[in-house]
Amino acid sequence: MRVRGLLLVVLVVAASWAWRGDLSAAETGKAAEQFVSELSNRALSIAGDANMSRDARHELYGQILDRDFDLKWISRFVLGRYWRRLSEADRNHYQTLFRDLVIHTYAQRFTSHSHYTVEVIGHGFSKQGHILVETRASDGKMTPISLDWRLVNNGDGFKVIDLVIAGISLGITQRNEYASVIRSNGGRVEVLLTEMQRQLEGLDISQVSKS
Amino acid sequence: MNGVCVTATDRIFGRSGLADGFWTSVSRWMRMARRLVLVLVLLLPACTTIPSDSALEDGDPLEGLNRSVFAFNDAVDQAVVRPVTWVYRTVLPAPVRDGIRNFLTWLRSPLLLANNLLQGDVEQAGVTVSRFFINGLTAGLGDPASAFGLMHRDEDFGQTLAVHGVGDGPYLVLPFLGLSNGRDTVGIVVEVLVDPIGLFGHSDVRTQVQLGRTAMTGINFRDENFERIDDLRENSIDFYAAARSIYRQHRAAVISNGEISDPPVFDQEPADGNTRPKPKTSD
Repeated sequence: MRVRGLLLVVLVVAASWAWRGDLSAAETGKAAEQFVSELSNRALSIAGDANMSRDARHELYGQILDRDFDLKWISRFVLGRYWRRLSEADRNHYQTLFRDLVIHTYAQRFTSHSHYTVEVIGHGFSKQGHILVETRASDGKMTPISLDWRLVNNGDGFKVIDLVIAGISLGITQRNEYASVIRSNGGRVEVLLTEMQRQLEGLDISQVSKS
Repeated sequence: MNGVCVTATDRIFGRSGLADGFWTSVSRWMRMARRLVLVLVLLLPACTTIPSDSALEDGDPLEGLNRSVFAFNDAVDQAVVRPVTWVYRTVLPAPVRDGIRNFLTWLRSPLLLANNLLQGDVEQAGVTVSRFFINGLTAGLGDPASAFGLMHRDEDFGQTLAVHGVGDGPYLVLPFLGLSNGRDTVGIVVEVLVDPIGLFGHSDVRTQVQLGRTAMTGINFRDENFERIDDLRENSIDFYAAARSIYRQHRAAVISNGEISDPPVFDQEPADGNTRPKPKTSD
């Protein structure tokens, strides 16, 4: 009888913990949805401001990137196992190049999509503990495009670590591309850095690099 | 060739009816497709040199050959396809181009239906049939069906094979047709053979119609992806590798019908990472 009572207490405690866990997950998911909604609106409003200069736009995108994206995580993920082969100085150099390339590339992409609106659909959790926020981008004419955000929550707020557009992960695409560049050059990571530098120079964003 | 086409279409639409011969047809198709994949897999490596370690690591044993074909396709794109598409989108207003796009999609209805059924997706098969008749009221030029929530979802025989467990096969870049793999190339061949639209009319007219349709499909694809392809070409260090990655991810997404994926690559801890997320669910 006593054993049965004890079992009941354990079950009730376990159930309440599970329920608390669910509630906490739901709250986290809702907060993540709110975060993504505000972030995408802010990015699109910058893109839609026709009076803003290119440099000012890049500056604002840089601020968003530093605050709302875990750029260090992303840059390491994109380099994969080759990260370990870099010296401390090269890592810093690589991360600076990566940040500048991301700003230039995505400022251009956002600007051409400034007439889109982003609608939050829902959220889920990956097996790694990442939060996946599902959204849909639409210009009101074409079929909406699915836009999924992968977030981490380390206690100091949400940070985006990947964006998946119509099933295509930007992080994975970049990772595959960089791996191919390194592998086709005999595994020398420094070749990638040279190529990134060349790409930046070709894109004429030396002003952003200096800022 | 016609005999093969008629036989193949008879298997789907023939007198025996869908119910009787459906699964027999499916199993025959699977056997045929697997044989074709096998032949392709066996033959293609013979056309190239021994793949490098790097190519094998990227799951692209024919990388040398593929890069050459990719460069050829890119040259054709820059010299012909892009300029023609630029004129197409400059001269024709968006509603006209939408009409052409809708018509090309509408022409794929029989193939869409066959693939829906072969994948066992009866619900989407109903959508395909409804869309065919509703959009048929506009001769396929409009898409009123979407307003009723009957949304288009592209399916092809490569996807059907994947649903039945056929693997990708080697990554392939086909001349003019673009990015593919062993399985999807088989899918293209099978669809060309069984497409009922390709069976009507005198053979000369039919060839012209098919060529025109293929060219329009290519221009429509370039038009839809005009900025995206230009952007990728301009902003990638290795355009070939970026395009290969996108193709693979895109195919995985359409095969899963757009479900959110959770690729195992995210299991890997970024080196020296100190920001490993802690699942909030365990709070």
